[in-house]
Amino acid sequence: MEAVSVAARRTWAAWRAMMRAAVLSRMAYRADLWVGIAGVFVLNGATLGTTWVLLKRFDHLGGWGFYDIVFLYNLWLIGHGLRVILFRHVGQLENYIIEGTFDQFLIRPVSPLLQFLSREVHYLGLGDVLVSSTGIALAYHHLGMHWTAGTWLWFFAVVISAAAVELGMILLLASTAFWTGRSTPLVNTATQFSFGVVQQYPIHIFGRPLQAIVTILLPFAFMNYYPSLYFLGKARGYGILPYLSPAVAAVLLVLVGIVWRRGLRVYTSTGS
Amino acid sequence: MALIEVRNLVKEFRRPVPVEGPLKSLRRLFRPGFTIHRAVDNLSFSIEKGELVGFLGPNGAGKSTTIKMMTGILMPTSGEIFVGGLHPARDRRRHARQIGVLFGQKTQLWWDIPTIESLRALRAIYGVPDTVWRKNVELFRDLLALHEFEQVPVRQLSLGQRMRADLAAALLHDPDILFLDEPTIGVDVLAKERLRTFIQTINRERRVTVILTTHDMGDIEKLCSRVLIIDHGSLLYDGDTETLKQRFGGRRTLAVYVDGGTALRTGAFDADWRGAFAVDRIEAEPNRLIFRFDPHQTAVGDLIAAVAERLPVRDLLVEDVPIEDIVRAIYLHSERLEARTAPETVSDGASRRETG
Ligand SMILES: Nc1ncnc2c1ncn2[C@@H]1O[C@H](COP(=O)(O)OP(=O)(O)O)[C@@H](O)[C@H]1O
Ligand SMILES: [Mg+2]
Repeated sequence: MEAVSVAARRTWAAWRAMMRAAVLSRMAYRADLWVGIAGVFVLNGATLGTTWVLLKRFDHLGGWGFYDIVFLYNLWLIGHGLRVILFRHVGQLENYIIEGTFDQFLIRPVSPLLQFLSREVHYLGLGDVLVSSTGIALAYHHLGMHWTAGTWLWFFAVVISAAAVELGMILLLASTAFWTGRSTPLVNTATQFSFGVVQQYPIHIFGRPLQAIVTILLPFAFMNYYPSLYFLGKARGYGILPYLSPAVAAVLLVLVGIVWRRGLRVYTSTGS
Repeated sequence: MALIEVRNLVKEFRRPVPVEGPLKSLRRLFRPGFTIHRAVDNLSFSIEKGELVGFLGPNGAGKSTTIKMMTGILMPTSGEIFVGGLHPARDRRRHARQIGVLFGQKTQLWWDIPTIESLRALRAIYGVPDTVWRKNVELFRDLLALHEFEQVPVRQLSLGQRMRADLAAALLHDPDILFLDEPTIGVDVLAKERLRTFIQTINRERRVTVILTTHDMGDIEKLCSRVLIIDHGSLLYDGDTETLKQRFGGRRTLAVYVDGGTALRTGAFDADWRGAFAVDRIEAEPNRLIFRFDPHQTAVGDLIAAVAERLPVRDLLVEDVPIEDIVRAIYLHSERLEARTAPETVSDGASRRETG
């Protein structure tokens, strides 16, 4: 018991110190902060603008109104933003391996995964979180929502889960670099299903195969679509799917743990 | 048991056969065509506490791979390694506390923050007590002049400063063993001297066991009493530096540039002349002659003067004999060397194991 708490306290202190180093590293490029935040407003404005134009034409998108889509989009964005702040670099595991930076994680008395996760932070996500909070507030207002404290709690759990689903998926895909040496193309291809499909469209407008992909194979739909069904009062007929996000996140993170353990074994035997 | 025991160590790498075309990373995942390359081939040696040992060998000899196995970054294909009684890759965390590592080619520090901040982060990672941390940083300021650049981001440091910063990082948690992979590579002469002095001090005064790799004979001569030479992954020589120097090293080369062809000029230096000036080989290249000589027997000045008497010297260059030449010389003598060193090391290792 005593030993466990000592180890936990050590790990916590190490994590804080590594985060501090990551933040200081990022602050060496302070100009990025403003460029990053401004860029995000422009980017997200443009994306939502397209959706708005689309909706103006059709009025509804698969039965969802403009503010339903605003909610859907911003729920995705807030999870994505949180993920980007802390874990933007996880998709680049391949570069860590190629450049040899990964080796240093293996000669220190802290979990290599923890060292990797806490190696970088990124400003870009801050803008995402700001934009999406505003978007959620707008949707909340226009849709006349009145959440109880319990609903708010659930909402935050969903936001964290959305970030964790994205982290878990990208980390899983990036970890194939332990076997193949190259995972960026795979990560980029897979995330198209998140950025291009799930992000701004209610997925029932797509065919079954695509729905299956973003639900089972690359479960990005648990970042926003399924949990949105509950918040937007559209959960009927979907069974437990609207409530599964935390469970999906947990499963993905457990998978990450398993894959990393194996990946490390492969890495230490191939060295590349 | 010795501090470091390595027995029949083998490391084989699979080299993937290139796959081209669409979805190549996916296809590589399922169709791993490869050839096998043996980077480390049946190495055995043991290192005692307090030793300062050098691994010498040309590029691609397998030095870094050996270091990576001793530090736990790579798992051996076969064979055994024990460092301080631990298995480096299997007991990763405990092992990490007893070693410090420097890779000359690649910093272990955070690239964008000042060295001192990296040392702060490492303090927490290793759980170094504050008093120890402060004492060590003071020591590094003294011996490595850390204060001159500790506030500068690592990416802005000169190579020599970067090595000093990395050395400080490697020693921060008072490790028993220090692994240095090419600690002087690319560093200028003065900075090299400073690094060597520091490494020597750490070894003598703090009793840190040091294992370093280099392809610079100078590092070995200045620092290491014992040297292991590897080439193509195998051990060619394990013994004291002095013997090696007397037999193969310690030689210099004098390259003399002359105008016009050199083809006929070697004739000017007959066996008597060579004997008189301790020159054991002369190589003729299109525009220069290279004399290999023993500087302990002939002063460079005398040799230059003697050469200049017979040739119109335009320019000249004096250098240490490169490691490739030493390796070649060892191959030529390999039978004799094996007969002498191999049984020695085996019985040595055995008796150490019994007493330890
Ligand atoms: N991760 C790896 N995958 C495949 N081959 C490797 C890997 N690392 C090293 N090698 C090969 O192993 C041999 C030894 O390399 P290395 O240990 O780096 O030599 P040295 O440090 O003595 O220059 C080289 O031929 C090198 O190309
Ligand atoms: Mg090397």
